Amino acid sequence: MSIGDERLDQLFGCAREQRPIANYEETKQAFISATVAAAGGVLATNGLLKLLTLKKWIIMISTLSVITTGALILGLHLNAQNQLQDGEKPTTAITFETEKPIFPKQPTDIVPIDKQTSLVQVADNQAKMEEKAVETLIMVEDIKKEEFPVKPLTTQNSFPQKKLLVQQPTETITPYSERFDITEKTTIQELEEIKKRAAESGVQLDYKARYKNDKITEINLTIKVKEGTDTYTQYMNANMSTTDNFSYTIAWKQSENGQVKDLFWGDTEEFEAQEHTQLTNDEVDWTELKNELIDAQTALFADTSELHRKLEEEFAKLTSEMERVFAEYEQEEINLLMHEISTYADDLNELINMESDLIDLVDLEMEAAQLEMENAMMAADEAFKEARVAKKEAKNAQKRAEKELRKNTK
Amino acid sequence: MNNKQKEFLELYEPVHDRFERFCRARVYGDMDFRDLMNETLLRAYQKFDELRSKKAFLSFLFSISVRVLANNKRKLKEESDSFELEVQYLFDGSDPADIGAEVFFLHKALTHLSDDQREAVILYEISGFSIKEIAEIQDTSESNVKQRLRRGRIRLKEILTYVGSVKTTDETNLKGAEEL
Repeated sequence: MSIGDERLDQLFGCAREQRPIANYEETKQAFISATVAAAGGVLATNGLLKLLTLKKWIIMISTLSVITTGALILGLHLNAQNQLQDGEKPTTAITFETEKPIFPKQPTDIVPIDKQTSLVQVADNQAKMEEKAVETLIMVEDIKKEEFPVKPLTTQNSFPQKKLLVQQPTETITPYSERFDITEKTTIQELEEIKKRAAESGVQLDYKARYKNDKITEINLTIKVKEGTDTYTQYMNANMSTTDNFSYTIAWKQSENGQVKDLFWGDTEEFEAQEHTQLTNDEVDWTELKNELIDAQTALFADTSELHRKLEEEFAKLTSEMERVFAEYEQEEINLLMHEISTYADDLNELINMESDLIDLVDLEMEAAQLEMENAMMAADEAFKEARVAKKEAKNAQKRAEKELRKNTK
Repeated sequence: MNNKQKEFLELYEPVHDRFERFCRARVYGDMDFRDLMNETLLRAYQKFDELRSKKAFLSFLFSISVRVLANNKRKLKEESDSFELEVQYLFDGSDPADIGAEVFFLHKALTHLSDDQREAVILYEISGFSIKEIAEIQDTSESNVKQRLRRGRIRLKEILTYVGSVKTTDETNLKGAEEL
Protein backbone atom coordinates (compact mmCIF):
# COMPACT_ATOMS: atom_id res chain seq x y z
CA MET A 1 0.00 0.00 0.00
CA SER A 2 1.50 3.29 -0.97
CA ILE A 3 0.97 6.18 1.38
CA GLY A 4 0.04 9.29 -0.53
CA ASP A 5 0.06 12.91 0.38
CA GLU A 6 -3.62 12.73 1.17
CA ARG A 7 -3.13 10.05 3.75
CA LEU A 8 -0.20 11.87 5.21
CA ASP A 9 -2.24 15.02 5.50
CA GLN A 10 -4.93 13.03 7.25
CA LEU A 11 -2.41 11.86 9.78
CA PHE A 12 -1.19 15.36 10.36
CA GLY A 13 -4.78 16.49 10.76
CA CYS A 14 -5.28 13.88 13.45
CA ALA A 15 -2.17 15.07 15.18
CA ARG A 16 -3.41 18.66 15.12
CA GLU A 17 -6.80 17.73 16.50
CA GLN A 18 -5.53 15.47 19.25
CA ARG A 19 -6.25 16.61 22.77
CA PRO A 20 -3.22 17.48 24.88
CA ILE A 21 -2.07 15.00 27.45
CA ALA A 22 -0.59 17.58 29.84
CA ASN A 23 -3.30 20.08 30.67
CA TYR A 24 -2.81 23.75 31.32
CA GLU A 25 -3.30 23.65 35.09
CA GLU A 26 -0.77 20.95 35.53
CA THR A 27 1.74 22.87 33.45
CA LYS A 28 0.99 26.08 35.33
CA GLN A 29 1.69 24.49 38.70
CA ALA A 30 4.92 23.04 37.45
CA PHE A 31 5.94 26.39 36.05
CA ILE A 32 5.24 28.25 39.31
CA SER A 33 7.21 25.71 41.31
CA ALA A 34 10.06 25.95 38.87
CA THR A 35 10.18 29.73 39.05
CA VAL A 36 10.20 29.69 42.83
CA ALA A 37 12.96 27.13 42.91
CA ALA A 38 14.98 29.03 40.35
CA ALA A 39 14.66 32.23 42.37
CA GLY A 40 16.23 30.44 45.34
CA GLY A 41 13.51 30.07 47.91
CA VAL A 42 10.05 30.99 49.09
CA LEU A 43 10.63 34.66 48.83
CA ALA A 44 11.86 34.41 45.28
CA THR A 45 13.14 37.89 45.18
CA ASN A 46 16.69 38.87 44.52
CA GLY A 47 16.63 41.68 47.02
CA LEU A 48 15.60 39.61 49.97
CA LEU A 49 17.93 36.85 48.94
CA LYS A 50 20.79 39.29 48.94
CA LEU A 51 19.68 40.54 52.30
CA LEU A 52 19.59 37.04 53.71
CA THR A 53 23.01 36.35 52.31
CA LEU A 54 24.26 39.56 53.80
CA LYS A 55 22.82 38.62 57.18
CA LYS A 56 24.57 35.32 56.97
CA TRP A 57 27.87 37.04 56.36
CA ILE A 58 27.31 39.43 59.21
CA ILE A 59 26.55 36.59 61.61
CA MET A 60 29.60 34.66 60.43
CA ILE A 61 31.94 37.58 60.81
CA SER A 62 30.54 38.48 64.23
CA THR A 63 30.98 34.96 65.47
CA LEU A 64 34.53 34.80 64.23
CA SER A 65 35.34 38.12 65.87
CA VAL A 66 33.95 37.00 69.19
CA ILE A 67 35.92 33.79 69.09
CA THR A 68 39.14 35.56 68.11
CA THR A 69 38.72 38.20 70.78
CA GLY A 70 37.99 35.63 73.41
CA ALA A 71 41.05 33.64 72.45
CA LEU A 72 43.21 36.75 72.56
CA ILE A 73 41.91 37.78 75.95
CA LEU A 74 42.42 34.32 77.32
CA GLY A 75 45.92 34.18 75.96
CA LEU A 76 46.84 37.54 77.42
CA HIS A 77 45.36 36.65 80.75
CA LEU A 78 47.34 33.46 80.96
CA ASN A 79 50.45 35.30 79.95
CA ALA A 80 49.95 37.89 82.66
CA GLN A 81 49.52 35.22 85.27
CA ASN A 82 52.73 33.55 84.32
CA GLN A 83 54.83 36.65 84.34
CA LEU A 84 56.76 37.68 87.42
CA GLN A 85 56.69 41.33 88.03
CA ASP A 86 59.79 43.16 89.22
CA GLY A 87 60.27 43.08 92.96
CA GLU A 88 57.31 40.91 93.48
CA LYS A 89 57.81 37.48 94.86
CA PRO A 90 55.61 34.91 93.35
CA THR A 91 53.59 32.75 95.63
CA THR A 92 53.76 29.48 93.83
CA ALA A 93 56.58 27.28 92.82
CA ILE A 94 57.02 26.87 89.11
CA THR A 95 59.22 24.22 87.71
CA PHE A 96 60.54 24.12 84.18
CA GLU A 97 62.11 21.05 82.79
CA THR A 98 64.66 21.33 80.11
CA GLU A 99 66.22 18.66 77.98
CA LYS A 100 69.09 18.61 80.33
CA PRO A 101 69.17 16.21 83.19
CA ILE A 102 67.19 17.09 86.19
CA PHE A 103 69.07 18.89 88.84
CA PRO A 104 67.57 17.90 92.10
CA LYS A 105 66.37 20.54 94.43
CA GLN A 106 69.02 21.98 96.58
CA PRO A 107 68.33 22.82 100.15
CA THR A 108 67.75 26.48 100.37
CA ASP A 109 69.25 28.92 102.72
CA ILE A 110 72.33 26.86 102.97
CA VAL A 111 75.17 29.02 103.99
CA PRO A 112 78.54 27.44 104.11
CA ILE A 113 80.51 27.86 107.21
CA ASP A 114 83.67 27.89 105.24
CA LYS A 115 84.17 31.43 104.13
CA GLN A 116 86.10 30.32 101.12
CA THR A 117 83.07 28.72 99.70
CA SER A 118 81.44 31.09 97.36
CA LEU A 119 77.86 32.09 97.78
CA VAL A 120 76.09 32.24 94.56
CA GLN A 121 73.14 34.46 94.55
CA VAL A 122 70.82 33.07 92.01
CA ALA A 123 68.32 35.08 90.12
CA ASP A 124 64.88 33.81 89.29
CA ASN A 125 66.08 32.05 86.25
CA GLN A 126 69.25 30.91 87.99
CA ALA A 127 71.43 32.48 85.39
CA LYS A 128 74.52 31.82 87.42
CA MET A 129 73.80 28.18 87.86
CA GLU A 130 75.78 25.68 85.96
CA GLU A 131 74.43 24.52 82.68
CA LYS A 132 73.22 21.25 83.97
CA ALA A 133 70.86 22.79 86.42
CA VAL A 134 67.18 22.75 85.96
CA GLU A 135 65.65 26.14 85.67
CA THR A 136 63.78 26.06 88.88
CA LEU A 137 62.19 28.84 90.73
CA ILE A 138 62.16 27.78 94.29
CA MET A 139 60.15 30.14 96.36
CA VAL A 140 60.67 28.32 99.56
CA GLU A 141 60.68 31.47 101.53
CA ASP A 142 57.18 32.28 100.48
CA ILE A 143 55.88 28.84 101.07
CA LYS A 144 57.23 28.81 104.52
CA LYS A 145 56.65 32.41 105.15
CA GLU A 146 53.44 32.13 107.03
CA GLU A 147 54.53 29.26 109.15
CA PHE A 148 58.07 30.12 109.58
CA PRO A 149 58.43 33.85 109.58
CA VAL A 150 61.99 35.03 109.45
CA LYS A 151 62.94 38.15 111.30
CA PRO A 152 65.58 40.30 109.72
CA LEU A 153 69.02 39.46 111.02
CA THR A 154 70.92 41.98 112.98
CA THR A 155 74.29 40.38 113.39
CA GLN A 156 77.24 41.35 111.36
CA ASN A 157 77.16 38.11 109.49
CA SER A 158 73.58 38.26 108.39
CA PHE A 159 73.00 36.61 105.12
CA PRO A 160 71.33 38.39 102.25
CA GLN A 161 67.59 38.89 102.14
CA LYS A 162 67.21 36.89 99.04
CA LYS A 163 66.94 33.36 100.03
CA LEU A 164 67.83 31.65 96.85
CA LEU A 165 71.28 30.63 97.68
CA VAL A 166 73.00 27.76 96.14
CA GLN A 167 76.19 26.52 97.47
CA GLN A 168 78.93 25.43 95.27
CA PRO A 169 80.20 22.67 97.40
CA THR A 170 83.78 21.84 97.31
CA GLU A 171 83.74 18.75 99.41
CA THR A 172 82.19 15.41 98.77
CA ILE A 173 78.72 14.71 100.01
CA THR A 174 78.43 13.36 103.45
CA PRO A 175 75.36 12.40 105.36
CA TYR A 176 73.91 14.69 107.96
CA SER A 177 75.66 14.14 111.18
CA GLU A 178 72.92 15.56 113.29
CA ARG A 179 69.24 15.84 112.77
CA PHE A 180 66.55 16.92 115.15
CA ASP A 181 62.85 16.95 114.44
CA ILE A 182 60.65 19.21 116.50
CA THR A 183 56.93 18.54 116.50
CA GLU A 184 54.08 19.89 118.57
CA LYS A 185 54.53 16.93 120.87
CA THR A 186 58.16 17.67 121.61
CA THR A 187 58.61 18.14 125.33
CA ILE A 188 60.74 20.64 127.18
CA GLN A 189 63.12 17.91 128.14
CA GLU A 190 63.56 16.93 124.52
CA LEU A 191 64.17 20.50 123.53
CA GLU A 192 66.78 20.77 126.24
CA GLU A 193 68.41 17.60 124.99
CA ILE A 194 68.46 18.97 121.47
CA LYS A 195 69.97 22.18 122.71
CA LYS A 196 72.60 20.34 124.60
CA ARG A 197 73.60 18.15 121.69
CA ALA A 198 73.60 21.08 119.33
CA ALA A 199 75.91 22.94 121.68
CA GLU A 200 78.27 20.01 121.60
CA SER A 201 78.51 20.39 117.84
CA GLY A 202 78.96 24.11 117.99
CA VAL A 203 75.41 25.11 117.26
CA GLN A 204 73.73 27.39 119.69
CA LEU A 205 70.03 26.68 119.69
CA ASP A 206 67.81 28.99 121.69
CA TYR A 207 64.11 28.45 121.95
CA LYS A 208 60.99 29.79 123.47
CA ALA A 209 58.03 27.45 123.42
CA ARG A 210 54.43 27.90 124.49
CA TYR A 211 52.56 24.82 125.54
CA LYS A 212 48.92 24.03 125.83
CA ASN A 213 47.69 20.64 126.88
CA ASP A 214 51.26 19.41 126.71
CA LYS A 215 51.53 20.43 123.10
CA ILE A 216 53.55 23.19 121.58
CA THR A 217 51.31 25.89 120.20
CA GLU A 218 53.99 28.39 119.42
CA ILE A 219 57.76 28.20 119.27
CA ASN A 220 60.52 30.66 118.63
CA LEU A 221 63.89 29.30 117.52
CA THR A 222 67.22 30.97 117.08
CA ILE A 223 70.18 29.17 115.60
CA LYS A 224 73.68 30.43 115.85
CA VAL A 225 76.73 28.63 114.62
CA LYS A 226 80.10 28.93 116.19
CA GLU A 227 82.82 30.30 114.00
CA GLY A 228 86.25 30.37 115.20
CA THR A 229 86.62 30.22 118.93
CA ASP A 230 84.15 32.66 120.37
CA THR A 231 82.21 34.10 117.51
CA TYR A 232 78.72 32.96 116.73
CA THR A 233 76.90 33.67 113.57
CA GLN A 234 73.16 33.80 113.71
CA TYR A 235 71.55 32.02 110.86
CA MET A 236 67.97 31.81 111.79
CA ASN A 237 65.39 33.32 114.06
CA ALA A 238 61.91 32.09 113.50
CA ASN A 239 58.59 32.29 115.27
CA MET A 240 56.22 29.55 114.36
CA SER A 241 52.70 28.53 115.21
CA THR A 242 52.21 24.82 115.23
CA THR A 243 49.57 22.74 113.56
CA ASP A 244 48.69 19.07 113.69
CA ASN A 245 51.25 18.31 111.02
CA PHE A 246 53.91 20.55 112.39
CA SER A 247 57.32 19.01 112.02
CA TYR A 248 60.42 21.14 111.97
CA THR A 249 63.86 19.74 111.25
CA ILE A 250 67.20 21.12 112.19
CA ALA A 251 70.15 19.27 110.73
CA TRP A 252 73.73 19.84 109.87
CA LYS A 253 76.81 18.18 108.69
CA GLN A 254 80.22 18.41 110.15
CA SER A 255 83.45 18.72 108.30
CA GLU A 256 86.53 16.78 109.11
CA ASN A 257 87.73 19.50 111.37
CA GLY A 258 84.43 19.55 113.24
CA GLN A 259 83.04 22.66 111.64
CA VAL A 260 79.30 22.77 111.10
CA LYS A 261 78.28 23.02 107.55
CA ASP A 262 75.20 22.48 105.37
CA LEU A 263 72.96 23.67 108.12
CA PHE A 264 69.35 22.93 107.39
CA TRP A 265 66.30 24.21 109.17
CA GLY A 266 62.81 23.88 107.87
CA ASP A 267 59.95 21.59 107.13
CA THR A 268 60.74 17.95 107.76
CA GLU A 269 59.18 16.80 104.53
CA GLU A 270 61.30 19.14 102.60
CA PHE A 271 64.39 18.00 104.40
CA GLU A 272 63.66 14.39 103.65
CA ALA A 273 62.92 15.15 100.05
CA GLN A 274 66.11 17.02 99.49
CA GLU A 275 68.14 14.53 101.41
CA HIS A 276 66.83 11.76 99.29
CA THR A 277 67.75 13.37 96.06
CA GLN A 278 70.74 15.41 97.18
CA LEU A 279 73.42 15.32 94.58
CA THR A 280 75.75 17.97 93.38
CA ASN A 281 76.09 19.04 89.85
CA ASP A 282 79.63 17.90 89.82
CA GLU A 283 78.85 14.51 91.07
CA VAL A 284 75.82 13.52 89.08
CA ASP A 285 76.85 10.86 86.68
CA TRP A 286 74.57 11.60 83.81
CA THR A 287 75.83 8.73 81.81
CA GLU A 288 75.11 6.39 84.64
CA LEU A 289 71.72 7.95 85.11
CA LYS A 290 71.01 7.55 81.48
CA ASN A 291 72.13 3.96 81.61
CA GLU A 292 69.97 3.40 84.62
CA LEU A 293 67.05 4.82 82.78
CA ILE A 294 67.79 2.66 79.81
CA ASP A 295 68.09 -0.35 82.06
CA ALA A 296 64.84 0.57 83.71
CA GLN A 297 63.24 0.95 80.34
CA THR A 298 64.66 -2.38 79.22
CA ALA A 299 63.46 -4.01 82.38
CA LEU A 300 60.08 -2.44 81.96
CA PHE A 301 59.95 -3.57 78.38
CA ALA A 302 61.01 -7.03 79.43
CA ASP A 303 58.36 -7.03 82.09
CA THR A 304 55.84 -5.82 79.61
CA SER A 305 56.89 -8.47 77.13
CA GLU A 306 56.77 -11.07 79.80
CA LEU A 307 53.38 -9.88 80.87
CA HIS A 308 52.25 -9.87 77.31
CA ARG A 309 53.52 -13.38 76.82
CA LYS A 310 51.79 -14.52 79.94
CA LEU A 311 48.61 -12.90 78.84
CA GLU A 312 48.85 -14.61 75.50
CA GLU A 313 49.44 -17.94 77.15
CA GLU A 314 46.55 -17.37 79.44
CA PHE A 315 44.41 -16.38 76.54
CA ALA A 316 45.44 -19.46 74.59
CA LYS A 317 44.64 -21.59 77.58
CA LEU A 318 41.29 -19.99 77.99
CA THR A 319 40.57 -20.39 74.32
CA SER A 320 41.43 -24.04 74.34
CA GLU A 321 39.44 -24.50 77.50
CA MET A 322 36.54 -22.80 75.90
CA GLU A 323 36.84 -24.95 72.83
CA ARG A 324 37.01 -28.00 74.97
CA VAL A 325 33.97 -26.96 76.88
CA PHE A 326 32.11 -26.25 73.70
CA ALA A 327 33.23 -29.54 72.27
CA GLU A 328 32.09 -31.28 75.38
CA TYR A 329 28.88 -29.43 75.33
CA GLU A 330 28.35 -30.36 71.74
CA GLN A 331 29.32 -33.93 72.45
CA GLU A 332 26.93 -34.00 75.29
CA GLU A 333 24.25 -32.61 73.11
CA ILE A 334 25.03 -35.23 70.52
CA ASN A 335 25.00 -37.91 73.13
CA LEU A 336 21.68 -36.75 74.41
CA LEU A 337 20.30 -36.72 70.95
CA MET A 338 21.69 -40.14 70.27
CA HIS A 339 20.19 -41.38 73.47
CA GLU A 340 16.88 -39.94 72.51
CA ILE A 341 17.13 -41.46 69.10
CA SER A 342 18.01 -44.81 70.53
CA THR A 343 15.11 -44.52 72.92
CA TYR A 344 12.81 -43.75 70.08
CA ALA A 345 14.30 -46.61 68.13
CA ASP A 346 13.70 -48.95 71.00
CA ASP A 347 10.16 -47.78 71.28
CA LEU A 348 9.73 -48.25 67.61
CA ASN A 349 11.16 -51.71 67.75
CA GLU A 350 8.90 -52.51 70.57
CA LEU A 351 5.97 -51.32 68.62
CA ILE A 352 7.07 -53.34 65.66
CA ASN A 353 7.44 -56.34 67.86
CA MET A 354 4.12 -55.73 69.38
CA GLU A 355 2.63 -55.46 65.99
CA SER A 356 4.23 -58.64 64.86
CA ASP A 357 3.10 -60.31 68.03
CA LEU A 358 -0.31 -59.06 67.39
CA ILE A 359 -0.16 -60.36 63.89
CA ASP A 360 1.05 -63.69 65.14
CA LEU A 361 -1.67 -63.71 67.66
CA VAL A 362 -4.22 -62.97 65.09
CA ASP A 363 -2.79 -65.69 62.92
CA LEU A 364 -2.95 -68.14 65.74
CA GLU A 365 -6.44 -67.23 66.57
CA MET A 366 -7.37 -67.49 62.99
CA GLU A 367 -5.79 -70.88 62.79
CA ALA A 368 -7.53 -71.96 65.88
CA ALA A 369 -10.75 -70.63 64.57
CA GLN A 370 -10.16 -72.33 61.32
CA LEU A 371 -9.39 -75.55 63.07
CA GLU A 372 -12.49 -75.27 65.10
CA MET A 373 -14.45 -74.62 62.03
CA GLU A 374 -12.98 -77.60 60.35
CA ASN A 375 -13.71 -79.71 63.37
CA ALA A 376 -17.16 -78.36 63.44
CA MET A 377 -17.58 -79.13 59.81
CA MET A 378 -16.26 -82.58 60.32
CA ALA A 379 -18.55 -83.05 63.20
CA ALA A 380 -21.35 -81.77 61.13
CA ASP A 381 -20.42 -84.16 58.39
CA GLU A 382 -20.34 -86.95 60.85
CA ALA A 383 -23.62 -85.95 62.26
CA PHE A 384 -25.04 -85.71 58.81
CA LYS A 385 -23.73 -89.10 57.97
CA GLU A 386 -25.16 -90.54 61.11
CA ALA A 387 -28.37 -88.86 60.39
CA ARG A 388 -28.42 -90.40 56.94
CA VAL A 389 -27.60 -93.74 58.38
CA ALA A 390 -30.28 -93.33 60.95
CA LYS A 391 -32.69 -92.23 58.33
CA LYS A 392 -31.82 -95.23 56.24
CA GLU A 393 -32.23 -97.53 59.13
CA ALA A 394 -35.47 -95.90 59.96
CA LYS A 395 -36.59 -96.45 56.44
CA ASN A 396 -35.50 -100.02 56.55
CA ALA A 397 -37.29 -100.47 59.83
CA GLN A 398 -40.33 -98.94 58.38
CA LYS A 399 -40.16 -101.21 55.40
CA ARG A 400 -39.80 -104.18 57.65
CA ALA A 401 -42.63 -103.00 59.73
CA GLU A 402 -44.81 -102.58 56.68
CA LYS A 403 -43.79 -106.01 55.48
CA GLU A 404 -44.66 -107.53 58.79
CA LEU A 405 -47.90 -105.75 58.75
CA ARG A 406 -48.75 -106.99 55.31
CA LYS A 407 -47.81 -110.43 56.35
CA ASN A 408 -49.96 -110.24 59.38
CA THR A 409 -52.84 -108.92 57.38
CA LYS A 410 -52.69 -111.80 54.98
CA MET B 1 2.22 34.77 42.23
CA ASN B 2 3.71 38.05 41.14
CA ASN B 3 2.64 40.30 38.30
CA LYS B 4 5.28 39.06 35.96
CA GLN B 5 4.17 35.48 36.40
CA LYS B 6 0.57 36.44 35.90
CA GLU B 7 1.36 38.30 32.73
CA PHE B 8 3.42 35.45 31.42
CA LEU B 9 0.74 32.89 32.10
CA GLU B 10 -1.89 35.06 30.50
CA LEU B 11 0.09 34.94 27.30
CA TYR B 12 0.84 31.27 27.61
CA GLU B 13 -2.61 29.89 28.29
CA PRO B 14 -4.03 30.35 24.77
CA VAL B 15 -1.02 28.68 23.16
CA HIS B 16 -0.70 25.85 25.63
CA ASP B 17 -2.31 23.18 23.45
CA ARG B 18 -0.19 23.95 20.41
CA PHE B 19 2.93 24.09 22.48
CA GLU B 20 2.10 20.83 24.18
CA ARG B 21 1.49 19.06 20.88
CA PHE B 22 4.75 20.37 19.49
CA CYS B 23 6.75 19.20 22.51
CA ARG B 24 5.08 15.84 22.48
CA ALA B 25 5.74 15.29 18.81
CA ARG B 26 9.22 16.75 18.89
CA VAL B 27 10.73 14.68 21.68
CA TYR B 28 8.66 11.56 21.32
CA GLY B 29 10.78 8.54 22.21
CA ASP B 30 13.72 10.71 23.30
CA MET B 31 12.65 12.23 26.57
CA ASP B 32 9.62 13.20 28.59
CA PHE B 33 7.91 16.05 26.74
CA ARG B 34 6.92 17.60 30.11
CA ASP B 35 10.59 18.18 30.86
CA LEU B 36 10.97 20.07 27.64
CA MET B 37 7.86 22.10 28.37
CA ASN B 38 8.93 23.01 31.90
CA GLU B 39 12.43 23.93 30.89
CA THR B 40 11.23 26.00 27.97
CA LEU B 41 8.70 27.85 30.08
CA LEU B 42 11.27 28.60 32.75
CA ARG B 43 13.75 29.94 30.25
CA ALA B 44 11.08 31.94 28.54
CA TYR B 45 10.03 33.42 31.84
CA GLN B 46 13.58 34.35 32.69
CA LYS B 47 13.88 36.10 29.34
CA PHE B 48 10.39 37.49 29.39
CA ASP B 49 11.68 41.03 29.57
CA GLU B 50 13.34 40.55 26.18
CA LEU B 51 10.01 39.88 24.49
CA ARG B 52 9.35 42.72 22.14
CA SER B 53 5.73 42.09 21.34
CA LYS B 54 3.06 40.00 23.01
CA LYS B 55 1.97 38.81 19.61
CA ALA B 56 5.32 37.23 19.08
CA PHE B 57 5.00 35.22 22.26
CA LEU B 58 4.28 31.95 20.48
CA SER B 59 7.27 32.09 18.20
CA PHE B 60 9.32 33.40 21.14
CA LEU B 61 8.32 30.32 23.11
CA PHE B 62 8.97 27.91 20.27
CA SER B 63 12.34 29.47 19.50
CA ILE B 64 13.43 28.97 23.06
CA SER B 65 12.18 25.41 22.93
CA VAL B 66 14.23 24.72 19.81
CA ARG B 67 17.32 26.18 21.44
CA VAL B 68 16.77 24.17 24.58
CA LEU B 69 16.58 21.05 22.49
CA ALA B 70 19.69 21.97 20.61
CA ASN B 71 21.55 22.51 23.88
CA ASN B 72 20.28 19.33 25.39
CA LYS B 73 20.79 17.20 22.35
CA ARG B 74 23.13 14.88 24.19
CA LYS B 75 20.43 14.00 26.66
CA LEU B 76 18.20 12.63 23.95
CA LYS B 77 18.17 8.88 23.73
CA GLU B 78 18.46 7.14 20.39
CA GLU B 79 15.51 5.23 19.16
CA SER B 80 15.97 1.52 18.93
CA ASP B 81 15.57 -0.51 15.75
CA SER B 82 12.41 -2.02 17.04
CA PHE B 83 10.41 0.67 15.27
CA GLU B 84 9.46 -1.40 12.27
CA LEU B 85 8.52 -4.36 14.33
CA GLU B 86 6.27 -2.24 16.53
CA VAL B 87 4.72 -0.49 13.62
CA GLN B 88 3.59 -3.75 12.05
CA TYR B 89 1.44 -4.47 15.03
CA LEU B 90 0.18 -0.95 15.61
CA PHE B 91 -0.65 0.50 12.26
CA ASP B 92 -4.10 -0.03 11.00
CA GLY B 93 -4.71 2.15 7.98
CA SER B 94 -8.22 0.87 7.50
CA ASP B 95 -9.47 2.54 10.68
CA PRO B 96 -9.20 6.34 10.44
CA ALA B 97 -11.29 6.74 13.56
CA ASP B 98 -8.45 5.50 15.76
CA ILE B 99 -6.83 8.87 16.15
CA GLY B 100 -4.71 8.01 19.12
CA ALA B 101 -3.11 5.06 17.42
CA GLU B 102 -2.49 6.95 14.19
CA VAL B 103 -0.91 9.88 15.98
CA PHE B 104 1.22 7.47 17.91
CA PHE B 105 2.30 5.92 14.65
CA LEU B 106 2.98 9.29 13.13
CA HIS B 107 5.10 10.31 16.09
CA LYS B 108 7.00 7.13 15.79
CA ALA B 109 7.61 7.73 12.13
CA LEU B 110 8.77 11.27 12.80
CA THR B 111 11.55 10.01 15.04
CA HIS B 112 13.21 8.64 11.93
CA LEU B 113 13.67 12.05 10.44
CA SER B 114 16.61 14.29 11.18
CA ASP B 115 16.10 16.83 13.94
CA ASP B 116 15.80 19.73 11.55
CA GLN B 117 13.34 17.94 9.31
CA ARG B 118 11.33 16.69 12.20
CA GLU B 119 11.14 20.14 13.73
CA ALA B 120 10.19 21.77 10.49
CA VAL B 121 7.50 19.21 9.73
CA ILE B 122 6.02 19.43 13.21
CA LEU B 123 6.07 23.22 13.23
CA TYR B 124 4.45 23.38 9.82
CA GLU B 125 2.08 20.46 9.79
CA ILE B 126 1.08 20.14 13.43
CA SER B 127 1.72 23.54 15.03
CA GLY B 128 0.60 25.50 11.99
CA PHE B 129 3.47 27.94 11.63
CA SER B 130 4.25 29.55 8.31
CA ILE B 131 7.49 28.92 6.51
CA LYS B 132 8.69 32.37 7.39
CA GLU B 133 7.95 31.85 11.04
CA ILE B 134 9.65 28.49 10.95
CA ALA B 135 12.69 30.10 9.36
CA GLU B 136 12.84 32.57 12.27
CA ILE B 137 12.37 29.91 14.84
CA GLN B 138 15.00 27.67 13.36
CA ASP B 139 17.20 30.62 12.53
CA THR B 140 17.62 29.57 8.94
CA SER B 141 16.47 30.60 5.51
CA GLU B 142 13.03 29.94 4.07
CA SER B 143 14.48 27.81 1.27
CA ASN B 144 16.10 25.56 3.84
CA VAL B 145 12.81 25.22 5.62
CA LYS B 146 11.07 24.29 2.39
CA GLN B 147 13.72 21.73 1.62
CA ARG B 148 13.37 20.23 5.10
CA LEU B 149 9.64 20.04 4.72
CA ARG B 150 9.84 18.40 1.32
CA ARG B 151 12.41 15.86 2.33
CA GLY B 152 10.67 15.22 5.55
CA ARG B 153 7.41 14.38 3.87
CA ILE B 154 9.08 12.13 1.34
CA ARG B 155 10.82 10.26 4.11
CA LEU B 156 7.63 9.91 6.07
CA LYS B 157 5.87 8.51 3.06
CA GLU B 158 8.64 6.01 2.54
CA ILE B 159 8.47 4.89 6.14
CA LEU B 160 4.74 4.60 6.13
CA THR B 161 4.73 2.90 2.70
CA TYR B 162 7.31 0.33 3.80
CA VAL B 163 5.30 -0.56 6.79
CA GLY B 164 2.18 -0.76 4.75
CA SER B 165 3.84 -3.04 2.21
CA VAL B 166 5.11 -5.39 4.92
CA LYS B 167 1.61 -5.76 6.28
CA THR B 168 0.15 -6.26 2.81
CA THR B 169 2.67 -8.96 2.02
CA ASP B 170 1.73 -10.83 5.17
CA GLU B 171 -1.94 -10.70 4.27
CA THR B 172 -1.20 -11.96 0.76
CA ASN B 173 0.86 -14.84 2.05
CA LEU B 174 -1.85 -15.84 4.40
CA LYS B 175 -4.41 -15.80 1.62
CA GLY B 176 -2.19 -17.92 -0.61
CA ALA B 177 -1.74 -20.40 2.19
CA GLU B 178 -5.48 -20.74 2.66
CA GLU B 179 -6.04 -21.38 -1.01
CA LEU B 180 -3.43 -24.03 -0.99
